[in-house]
Amino acid sequence: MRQEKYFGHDWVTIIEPRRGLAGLDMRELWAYRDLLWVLLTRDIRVRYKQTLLGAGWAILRPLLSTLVFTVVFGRMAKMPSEGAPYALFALAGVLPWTFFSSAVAAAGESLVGSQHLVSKIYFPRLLIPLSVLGACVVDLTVGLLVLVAMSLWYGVGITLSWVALPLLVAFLVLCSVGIGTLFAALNVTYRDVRHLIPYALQVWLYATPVVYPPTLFPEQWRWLLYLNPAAGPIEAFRAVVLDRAVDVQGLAVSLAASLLILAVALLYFGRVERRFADVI
Amino acid sequence: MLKVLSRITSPTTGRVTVRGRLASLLEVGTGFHPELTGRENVFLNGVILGMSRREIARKFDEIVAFAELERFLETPVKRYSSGMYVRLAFAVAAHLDADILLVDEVLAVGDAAFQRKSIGKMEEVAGSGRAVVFVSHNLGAVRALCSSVLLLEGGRRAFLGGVEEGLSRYEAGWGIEVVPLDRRAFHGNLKTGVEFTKIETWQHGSQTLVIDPTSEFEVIVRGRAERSFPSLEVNLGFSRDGVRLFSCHDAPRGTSMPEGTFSSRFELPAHLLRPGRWSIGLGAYRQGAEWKWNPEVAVIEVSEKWGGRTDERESGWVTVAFRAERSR
Repeated sequence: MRQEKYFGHDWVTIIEPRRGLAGLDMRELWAYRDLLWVLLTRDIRVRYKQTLLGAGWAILRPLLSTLVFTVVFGRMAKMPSEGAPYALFALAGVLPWTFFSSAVAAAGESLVGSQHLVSKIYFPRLLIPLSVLGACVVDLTVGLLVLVAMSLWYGVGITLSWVALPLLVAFLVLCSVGIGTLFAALNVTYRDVRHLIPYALQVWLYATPVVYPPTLFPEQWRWLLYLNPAAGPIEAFRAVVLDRAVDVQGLAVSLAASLLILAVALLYFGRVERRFADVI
Repeated sequence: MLKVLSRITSPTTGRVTVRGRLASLLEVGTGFHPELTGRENVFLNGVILGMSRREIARKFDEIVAFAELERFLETPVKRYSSGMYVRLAFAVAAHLDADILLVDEVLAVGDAAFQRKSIGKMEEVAGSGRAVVFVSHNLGAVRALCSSVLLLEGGRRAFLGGVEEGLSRYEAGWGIEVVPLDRRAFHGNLKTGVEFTKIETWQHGSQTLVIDPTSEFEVIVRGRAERSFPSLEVNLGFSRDGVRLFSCHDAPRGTSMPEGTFSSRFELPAHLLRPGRWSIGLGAYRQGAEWKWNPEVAVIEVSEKWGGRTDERESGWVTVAFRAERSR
């Protein structure tokens, strides 16, 4: 698809069969930014409609997970938490993890869930898996307030290094977009993905340093842990919150893995995008 | 074709050049979210259809006035009646400022007054120098709205030109060709022994696939029995939107079928099928539970010759010969 000026004000769209590795059309994505915005806000608005607690869920969910993890791993399994109170240690891991896992789960389901849009109207399909991020970001922001409260409670306090958190969230966005779009595109053709996602995420949780510290692994093998693209930003997030040194090497390994997955996902998405309306 | 033009599906061959902004309306209310309010959905739907948020904000009052829903703007659309829903959706679509508007048969919705309003709006759009591509089997609407007609047959251009000529070609064009009967399209356990070769619909002494509902019509099925059957009946079924409304058979149970060709004739009464597209299903049944069936061997179009309320979809799919009177 090309769009160009035609006789001054008009423009011409040329529709032709697309072949080969039609890549990502950034200009087109930008042209549809209004749609992305509307879809993002739609998901945010709809998220807690007709619930008793409303946005309270955004507070309650990480708290409940933290409680469970604290009891099971902190108290019963006596998991080390690098000297920090286990509850704070867990919450600082649970928040970014929840962001990542709910973004991936929602993105994976998003295309199939928007059949009515995909088969009736044209727009860059990538907007759909992207649009689930809005609600996740809002949940994370609300969760951060809980984290602030808990940090103060435990007397850990907030340091200047917290300004790095948005950067780490951006990193997480990168990583969840890559995995989420890949799942979303695969899900269109193979609905197996829908059944796979919950399991994958469950296993993934334990492959990520959320309930345990990465120091559980011997130093020379730790980089393997960071091949998991979610591991780097989540661990760094916690390191910042607990005011510890960030494992930069691990972060770099995760970033490389993230970018690789993102590239593969976007390429694959671009290739199969045109078939979505027929297959979905 | 609409899907290619609106870029939902990518073409396998060929090329389309679109000059101007194109908006497509394959369905009203695309992307409406039931939980959101009328106001939120206007923005959502408008942007999905290709307007910018600023553009919608500018036209918002006009849209709401057109839909006559000022009082319900803050109500989630899931509490709307289907009429209100459609009105709001069409109002958004009608205010699209595109140079080219692709419209599928979406006008077949809403109450009569709103339909008139919608058609009026489309005429206004067409009159203001913008192009409307209207895809429909509703000949009345085509006649009212269009200035030229493109007739597609099997995906190819069969005719491009004036409205009246196009419509009469359409009406005549149906049924000249005998629908080829694909033997693979039949399912059932009666795989061999009976083959259908032709199905034809006749009315007023000529073969046609456009049926005038005010008089009776005939369906003739031809075929060949490769062996003789002690008992075999040929079945015909009429269905719409995948629902079979009724079926009929050509002979009482237990009638034999000798080897060789056969032809079954079904006479159907006037004032039975309401206007629209009907699928004819065809099959055979041998006593002892051997059967074959194809739910759609042909599609006929029942035209809108009926006056009054009888042509409205809401009044049902079929009617019967009834008698009514009123007294004081």
